[in-house]
Amino acid sequence: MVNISVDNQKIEVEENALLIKVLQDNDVEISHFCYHEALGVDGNCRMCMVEIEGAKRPQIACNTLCKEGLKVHTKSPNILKVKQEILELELINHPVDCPVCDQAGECSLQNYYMDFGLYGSRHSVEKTKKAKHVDLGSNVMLDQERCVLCARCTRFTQNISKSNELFIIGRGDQARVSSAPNKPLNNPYAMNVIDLCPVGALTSKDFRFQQRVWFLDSVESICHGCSKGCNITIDHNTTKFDNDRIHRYRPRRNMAINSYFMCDEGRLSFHKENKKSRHFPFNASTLRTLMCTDESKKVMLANASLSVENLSILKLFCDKYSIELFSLPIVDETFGDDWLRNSVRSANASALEFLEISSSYEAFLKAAQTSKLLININHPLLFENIESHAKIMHFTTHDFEDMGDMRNIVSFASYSHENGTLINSDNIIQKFSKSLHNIHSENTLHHIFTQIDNTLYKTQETLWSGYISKQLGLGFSDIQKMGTKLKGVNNA
Amino acid sequence: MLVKIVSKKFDIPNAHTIDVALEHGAYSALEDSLVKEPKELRDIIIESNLRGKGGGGAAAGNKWNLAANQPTESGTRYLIVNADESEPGTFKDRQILAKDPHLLIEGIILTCHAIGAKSSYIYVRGEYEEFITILEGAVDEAYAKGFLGNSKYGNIDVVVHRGAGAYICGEKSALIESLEGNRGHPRLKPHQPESEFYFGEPALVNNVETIASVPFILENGADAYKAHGTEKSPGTLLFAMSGHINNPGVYECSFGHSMLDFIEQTGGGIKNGKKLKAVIPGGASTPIIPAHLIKDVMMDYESLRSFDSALGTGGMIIMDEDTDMVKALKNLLHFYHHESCGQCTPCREGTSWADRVMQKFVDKRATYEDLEILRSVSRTMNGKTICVFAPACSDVIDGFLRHFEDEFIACIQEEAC
Amino acid sequence: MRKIFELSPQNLEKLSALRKQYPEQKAIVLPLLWMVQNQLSYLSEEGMQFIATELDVPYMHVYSVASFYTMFIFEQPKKHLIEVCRTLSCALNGADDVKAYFDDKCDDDVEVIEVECLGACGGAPMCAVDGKYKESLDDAKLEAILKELKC
Repeated sequence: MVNISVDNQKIEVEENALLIKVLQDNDVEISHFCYHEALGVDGNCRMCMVEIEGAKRPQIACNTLCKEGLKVHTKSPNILKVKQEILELELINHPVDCPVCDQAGECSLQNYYMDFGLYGSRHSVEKTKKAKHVDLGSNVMLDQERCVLCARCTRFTQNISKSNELFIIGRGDQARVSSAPNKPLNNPYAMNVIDLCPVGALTSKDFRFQQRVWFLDSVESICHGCSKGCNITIDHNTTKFDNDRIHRYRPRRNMAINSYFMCDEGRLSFHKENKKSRHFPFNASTLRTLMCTDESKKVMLANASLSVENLSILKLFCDKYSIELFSLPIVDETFGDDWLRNSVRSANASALEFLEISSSYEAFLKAAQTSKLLININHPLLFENIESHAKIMHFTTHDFEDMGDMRNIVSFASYSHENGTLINSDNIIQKFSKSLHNIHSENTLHHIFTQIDNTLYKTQETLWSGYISKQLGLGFSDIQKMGTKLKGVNNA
Repeated sequence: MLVKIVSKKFDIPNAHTIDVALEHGAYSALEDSLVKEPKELRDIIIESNLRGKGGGGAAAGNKWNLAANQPTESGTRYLIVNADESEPGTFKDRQILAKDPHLLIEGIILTCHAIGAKSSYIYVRGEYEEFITILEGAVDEAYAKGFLGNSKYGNIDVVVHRGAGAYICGEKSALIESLEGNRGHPRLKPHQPESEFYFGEPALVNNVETIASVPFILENGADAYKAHGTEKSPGTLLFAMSGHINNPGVYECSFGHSMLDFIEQTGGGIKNGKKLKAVIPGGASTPIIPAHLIKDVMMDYESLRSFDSALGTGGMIIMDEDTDMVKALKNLLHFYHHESCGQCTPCREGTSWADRVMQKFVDKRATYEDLEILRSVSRTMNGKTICVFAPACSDVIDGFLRHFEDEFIACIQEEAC
Repeated sequence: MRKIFELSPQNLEKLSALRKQYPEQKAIVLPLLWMVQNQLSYLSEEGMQFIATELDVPYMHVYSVASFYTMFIFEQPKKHLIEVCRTLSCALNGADDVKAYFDDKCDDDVEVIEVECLGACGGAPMCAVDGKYKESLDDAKLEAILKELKC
């Protein structure tokens, strides 16, 4: 460890730590375009200039290593002037079309301009013309004139996705990002370049022209698209005459799980969350009569993407009324890869073992055939192929095809309408938060089942302290912000 | 004043062929030098104070030591010869490639021995197609005669690599990037002094003329070399003259002579009997010096530094009294605008902005604010980029504004009335 | 049907020699670009795809590299190319006049362009005609060039 000083504050850091990373980790604002923790150092934007005592010239923080006694100034008048001059150059050929740019509000150029720009424009010559609205494929639109050539997107396709679609072509002020003719962006992670782009050069075809970002509310959540558990931010809002709607998912940094990224399929899975579903209210006493009164054999099939809390309440309910509970994770071998896509598509499949819920397909089939009542909790398996004369009851978050007798359908809140926890494929338990507030938010699964049997744990808190923490071997408050790795089931 | 060390065989017809070259002493430094320890050879080069002749003028011996001492697991080291000569006003290395390529090859064999390299690449600018043909012929001959390849001279391999039109590839790290099959983007500065690296292995990059100076030094000793030039700028340089000069061309001259004498005596004075206005002393990137100062300028690194300029490549561009300095600067800024690699912001945007603002001066549309913009863009380009391309452009602008500001102001005032 | 690019037998031989001369195959991008351009007179998509396949690098890498260097061209060129050096020493010695002369006298078979310093400042003004340097141009030499090109 060595001691350095940043703006006269002492910081202890590892010797040879990268200065820009140290500044970021210590919440010292440092302007930059090209440096990115996941992509490494490129040194091309020159925006992270700092003053280092003893150095003749300003230095870039992304190419400075921390040594004992390093004295850094990030806000001295000299350095602000230097950054202002470089920012002026970044903008000299930029179209400055913020009013029609979707990046407005979350654009580094805008932010830095407000931080230390604010000069009058001295521009009086023609600008460099480049291509606008280039459709790169995979929902990614490119405006070459807005690009600051930080090369984050090209480095992503070359070094991270290794799909090599994007490169910089041309030279000097004619340099620009491009894909090959007839070779569009084509990889399962393509849309990450939109998040990586610090300016409005790369925008999402799926999101652009929909919302101004400052009208969005952001909530931290977990992608439910597979069992990887990529951390996301849900951006949503309520507009006049419309329900609360999600407008996009963005990956959220979690170095233990998804770094800064997520797959396109997960990113676009919010469209399903937004799908308008009919509201099928429940009647607690009818459900009680159906599920809790007679001795006949009953089977429940729960979706393995349900939260730990929802699976627990079902488990407690089924145990009490001798209902056989199964949960069958959905597996799609064509989906998985060795990075962020897991073939187990059910977000909470790893929880089943901890909660002692059977996931045996054979056992389920056997039980279902002799059952008098089949209760489906949002599982896509609709029992059509099961030879049984049982009555079928559906609890569902979304309308599905061929809904049959609608009297046997109860709708409940999907994951974006409630808080919960998920255990991912690496046994990391993570929290997600309620983002949407509308009619679907009221009837959570927990609410429905505690209405049916009001002796069950009434709240998530009591459920945790009374049941879940025993099963998992940790309490709710033990879960770290970036998730906590659970010990194996046997060690719990 | 004029000396024949590197240019010894320039006037001999067909000296580029090995038979003629051998008749005139080519490869004579090999026998004695190759039996010496590599370190001994490096010490002679250090003792000679040989300075790199590609423009920077750094001590060659230090670079050799860095390359020779850089740890490498595989034991592989490379010598890369920079023949990307693209600095406007500079046309000296092509004389060696075309007239005495065997001197270069001899220098390569010696240098490889001194740093422990077996492979060498000569990176020649793409436009030098004709000279590449001559050089390749010479390399083939050297292989055939047993100087290169499997031979008693250390099994050195030489590959001639053709560039394809990019000034920036004369910058050593951009050159290596290009030689690795990439765009010619200069690399970030290392955190401590170290050699260059070619595909991760230590590499030495030296200019053609530097390597061509090696045989003389190793054959005759450091003192023989230091007998020429000044204490700090020993030896000779292939100085070049172009522009408004009666006898343009390349002349080998020892360091430390009067620039004005050189222009008048060797260069034959200014064309059409006109008066001298200014000299760009060492390739376009060195700041311009006006005539009234030239009489005190000596042709060595230290003297030119004292005039806020640099010796650079020694390629002088001479301008007569009728030269329009506004147009001259515009001409050069067009060059920098065209040649910026575009990797880092201050250079990519600064060179294009400066060029466009200069167009306003040429068109008599400029204002005082444009003059201020030129100065501030120049300031932003200086010392804030990955390589020295933008700082060089900045020096060029500063030099013109320092000495000829009145012509720029005249442009503005002409617009005003 | 797309035409598939193939190297000429001589170039194939050169390629196998080149493969031994560099520590990594990627280094051969530039030499191969030259081979393709010399063979086709420009760089076609198929030609660059050939290089990508031969060297096991992405197509876009080849194109990105090629587009960096001004001597590579991507369309069928005219029959002849005159590159007039425009940089300072040539400009001081009448490069503009040389350019204007060729613009005026050359027919459609000839592409006349301005290029940056060709490293022949001592022979200013100068140009390269189909790659061959013509230095210290005067009226007689200009006329001789036109004659050679049959304009």
